[in-house]
Amino acid sequence: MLSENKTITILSILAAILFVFAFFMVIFYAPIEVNMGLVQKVFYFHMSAAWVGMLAFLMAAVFGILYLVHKDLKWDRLLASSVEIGLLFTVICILSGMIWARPIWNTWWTWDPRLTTVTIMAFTYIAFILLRRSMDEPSKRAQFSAIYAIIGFVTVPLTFFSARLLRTIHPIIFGSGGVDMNLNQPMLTTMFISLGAFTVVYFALLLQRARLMQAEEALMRLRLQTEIDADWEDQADA
Amino acid sequence: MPDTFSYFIAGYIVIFVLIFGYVWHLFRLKRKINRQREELSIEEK
Repeated sequence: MLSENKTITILSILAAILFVFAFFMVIFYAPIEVNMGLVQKVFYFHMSAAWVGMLAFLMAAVFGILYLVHKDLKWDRLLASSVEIGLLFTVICILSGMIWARPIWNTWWTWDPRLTTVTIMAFTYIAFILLRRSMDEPSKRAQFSAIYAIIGFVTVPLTFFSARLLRTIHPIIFGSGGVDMNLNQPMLTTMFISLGAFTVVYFALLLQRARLMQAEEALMRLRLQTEIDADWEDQADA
Repeated sequence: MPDTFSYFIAGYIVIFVLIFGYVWHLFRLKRKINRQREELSIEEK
């Protein structure tokens, strides 16, 4: 059995290699789309970021359920880490989408259903992070986070299905008939490699962040204990 | 074919800056925790 530290190190190295490999595929393997030009290549990492954002919020809801069942703070640390990473990738998705939209839609932003729902999703999790930071008591904070992550997850299917159920100008990649966008084989291969690479990057970041959160909590306990010990010594001296 | 090279570069700069910025943030956090733990253990001694 590998130790936890070794697993995280191996996963991080694998994530870095896959990430670089995916980027090389985007640059050298995927062909340039004739109508959009080079900016179409932003799509591979844009879609992967969107996928990781949604996966992270799904995982946060799962960790929330696991916390409510087992009452183990390990799940709370994973939940908070997952939301943080999910938000990072959602912001990447929004910003890269805006840059793609400028030459293609001739605007940075439009209140299209997909763009609106993804913004609602991002703000839901920004509020989560702000509210969580305002709570000190660990078990109360964990309980709140678990319930919020489960309820907040509603915004994920809302975002995913918005482009399918409502009238939108946002392209749909996976429709009812498989891959709907006009992608040839090298483009599809690059897309799936990018999706895989980003998924591994997500799990590597998740484990790293959760481990750091655990170290932060241990440090806080140690500091508290040192302060209590110092107080006792002061009282004893007096 | 339209010339969208600058948008392509801008897109990937944003993606790389945010991802590597987050990794850098984690790296700095780890160093900060280790340093504070060492300081506390010296204080305890």
